Amino acid sequence: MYQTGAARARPAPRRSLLDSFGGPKVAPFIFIAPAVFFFLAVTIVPALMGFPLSFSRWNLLGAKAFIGLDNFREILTDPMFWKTLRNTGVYTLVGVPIEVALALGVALLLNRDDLPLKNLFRTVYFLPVITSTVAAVFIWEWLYHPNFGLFNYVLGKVGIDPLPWLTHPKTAMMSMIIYVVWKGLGYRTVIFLAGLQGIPKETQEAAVVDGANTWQRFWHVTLPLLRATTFLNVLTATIGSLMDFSVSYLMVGPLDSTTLVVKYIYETAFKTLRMGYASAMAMVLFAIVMLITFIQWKARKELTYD
Amino acid sequence: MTHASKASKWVTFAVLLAGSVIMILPFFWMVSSAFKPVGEVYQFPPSWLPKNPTLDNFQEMFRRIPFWRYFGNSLLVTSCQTIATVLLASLAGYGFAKYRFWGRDGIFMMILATMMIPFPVTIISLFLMAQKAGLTNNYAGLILVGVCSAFGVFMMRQFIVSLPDALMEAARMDGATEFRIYLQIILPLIRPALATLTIFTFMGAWNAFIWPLLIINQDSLRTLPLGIATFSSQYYDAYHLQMAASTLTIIPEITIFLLLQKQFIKGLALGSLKG
Repeated sequence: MYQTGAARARPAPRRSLLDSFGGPKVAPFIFIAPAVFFFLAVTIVPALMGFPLSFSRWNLLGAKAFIGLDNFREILTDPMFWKTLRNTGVYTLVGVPIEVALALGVALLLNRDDLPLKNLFRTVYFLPVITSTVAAVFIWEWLYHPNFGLFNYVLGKVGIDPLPWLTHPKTAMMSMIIYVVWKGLGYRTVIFLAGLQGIPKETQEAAVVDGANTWQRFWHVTLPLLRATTFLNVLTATIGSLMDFSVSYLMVGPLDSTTLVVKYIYETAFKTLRMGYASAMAMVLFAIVMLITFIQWKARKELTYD
Repeated sequence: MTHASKASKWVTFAVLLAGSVIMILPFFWMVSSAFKPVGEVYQFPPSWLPKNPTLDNFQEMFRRIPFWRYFGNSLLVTSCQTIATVLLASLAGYGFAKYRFWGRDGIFMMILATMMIPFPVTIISLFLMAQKAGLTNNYAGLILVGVCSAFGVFMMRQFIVSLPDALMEAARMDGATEFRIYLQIILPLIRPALATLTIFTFMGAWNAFIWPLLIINQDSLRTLPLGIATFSSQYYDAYHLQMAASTLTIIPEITIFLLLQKQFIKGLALGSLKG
């Protein structure tokens, strides 16, 4: 393989492909080049291109027309935009806390060394996460069926009237949220578990020795030490929720009760072919997401210094 | 162990068990419905287990949609994307981890920052670019948008950074070229990370929905999620067929996950916490 010992002189130049990567000075640029090129082409350039597009009007035929801030003005008075934004807000403000809180609960329950079938439980809770969204939505639409669905059957067995679930505007959003919590719970739980495992046993034991009961231990020892993990879960769940497309596209409720912003942007761009207007809405959404990320980041910084 | 903590152990177990039933119930229901004859599917009150199990739903589904075509398309696209991502991410990760060059940290930060750019911002322009480049309605267009991932680059760099520099120095002194070092020293040492990235990328790429939705309207090119979603909008009340399609989609996913779950979950937790 490599020449060693006395033959330390540089080997005679070979023309193989393996040699055309230059020495330590040039090689790194070649190594990172494909990846960098990819990100430029697929993420950065399109993102930059979206910016001027949001100040134009274009329907794929003919020329682009620069129309200044008209798109943004239109957004302000577009009832559908505000409706979907409100839907997205409810979806996020209700769904994320429920998902994160439940995940924390499950993670705390799972985080015991003496628990039988611990790994099996962790796997079971994680299964919904890895399944195809399309198939999962099919299943839940069937479970939610007002006449033949399993859920109404079970409700009936405990004496509750059947619910319209996805067929009524008032219950459709809640139905979607329940599905999304089921789908994402395992993922958040695994993150929490990893965070919990970073808390040294001695800290917990010291609290017990000091006479703290379970609740006090949780509130004053575990929870503060989980801050980073909680922040991570809340932030990624929030962003994922604000950006959701697949669920909103597949799980359709009546009267746009389950339509979220990204689905509206998609339809504006690809059904009504208003590229400029859709880009403008995407920019607004992006700004909202950045703002919320910034707020959560700041909040975390504040809470860390107590 | 005290009496109290023994009791709490079993209470915990019971609560988790109840929760598990809720988590699994949808899958159980899917399989049960898939094997019921049509008449039994649409009956109320429903039966928990099929009284007359049958393969009719699967056969009818195969008649109505090119399920295996969709499956094959997904397999092709996902495999290409996974191999490419592991290759590109490990190459780039190695470059960022073990070399010093002008702009290194800035470029790395930029790549990480792309994880924060939400896809609605890029998707419209990306579609327009693909159209101009003739990359709609073909495999190339499907594959190329997924040949690398920022998460992958990040993860590879984290792993490689922890390898001792002496290994590379020694190899260089022995006359090895940079690429050989990557191939024959670095790669074997990060095998577990490569495995995790492979699983991760495969799962993500397999379930990708929005990009195929945008650029494919030729049925023979549809990937599995897109194919069965289109199918469901045509047969939107045919739940017995949808359950058959879902079963064939989900069972392989669950099987592969069960076989590889340790690495999957480990990599997920690791990547997220270091982020």
